[in-house]
Amino acid sequence: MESLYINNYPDLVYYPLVNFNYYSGVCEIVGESYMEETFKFYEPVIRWLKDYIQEKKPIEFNLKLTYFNTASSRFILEILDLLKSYQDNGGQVKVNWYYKREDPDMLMEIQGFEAETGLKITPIIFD
Amino acid sequence: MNANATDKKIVFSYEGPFNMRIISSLGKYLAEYLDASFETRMSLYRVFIEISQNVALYSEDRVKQELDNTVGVGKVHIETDGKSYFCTTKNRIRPEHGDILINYCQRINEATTNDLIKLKEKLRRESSIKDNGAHIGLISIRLFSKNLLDVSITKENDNTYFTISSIIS
Repeated sequence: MESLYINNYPDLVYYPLVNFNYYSGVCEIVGESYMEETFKFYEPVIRWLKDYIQEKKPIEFNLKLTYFNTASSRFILEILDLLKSYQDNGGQVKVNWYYKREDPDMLMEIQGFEAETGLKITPIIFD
Repeated sequence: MNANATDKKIVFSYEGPFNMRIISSLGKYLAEYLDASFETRMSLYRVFIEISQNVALYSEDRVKQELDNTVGVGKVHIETDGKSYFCTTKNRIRPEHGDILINYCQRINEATTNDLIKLKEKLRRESSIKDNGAHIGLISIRLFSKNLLDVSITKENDNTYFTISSIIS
């Protein structure tokens, strides 16, 4: 299994950067997410995570999303559910979500995902 | 920005295809260059993207894009009175969808914030992975703006149009 790096559209702000490092277990999604074909973008991301979890390695999942639309939130929820399920089955999981200090709405979204999935998400301010 | 209580200044107005490059460029202006606090800019940006993507996905007027996809055509207009921003879109819809949209938006307006959050979570869980999330988008607009949705259905030359406005303070 190899690492996953998706940065196919660096000039298009609505595609986030995906950088999943198989060797360190540090995975991050950075930027904004509101592309048209959301399923097409996230399907390989989720497939990679499902394969990685089979290896029973620790994972540190970092989200640095400043905006995501409702279609993307469906897939973010699926990712978090996957991580929670892995954790419940003994996997070592840590999730951090970076957000701007002046963005209380993003903090509410983070807390909402945490409450809904039962997965501990550490909010971290970045300026 | 100088404006009295009744004067409104146009931030921008656009009519045409709502393809992603256009939406993101207009959104970038709101997020990065508008003379407003970070919180206001982000709220307006989020409302704008959601409201515009609904036009892109659901307008009955469509134009062809690359790879045989189509994108919706409509109008978006943003103005300010110096204190609040008013974001409005208008697009053609199927006549039979008019009442459905009005009733759904009324339900959203009558719900509490907590009810809306729960409804959003429920709809999101129930949606298929290929769903575009229109129903949830209207709830998100209400939540991001923290104000009621202002919606109307009009008939013009045998066509039916849906107009939605959101106020961001």
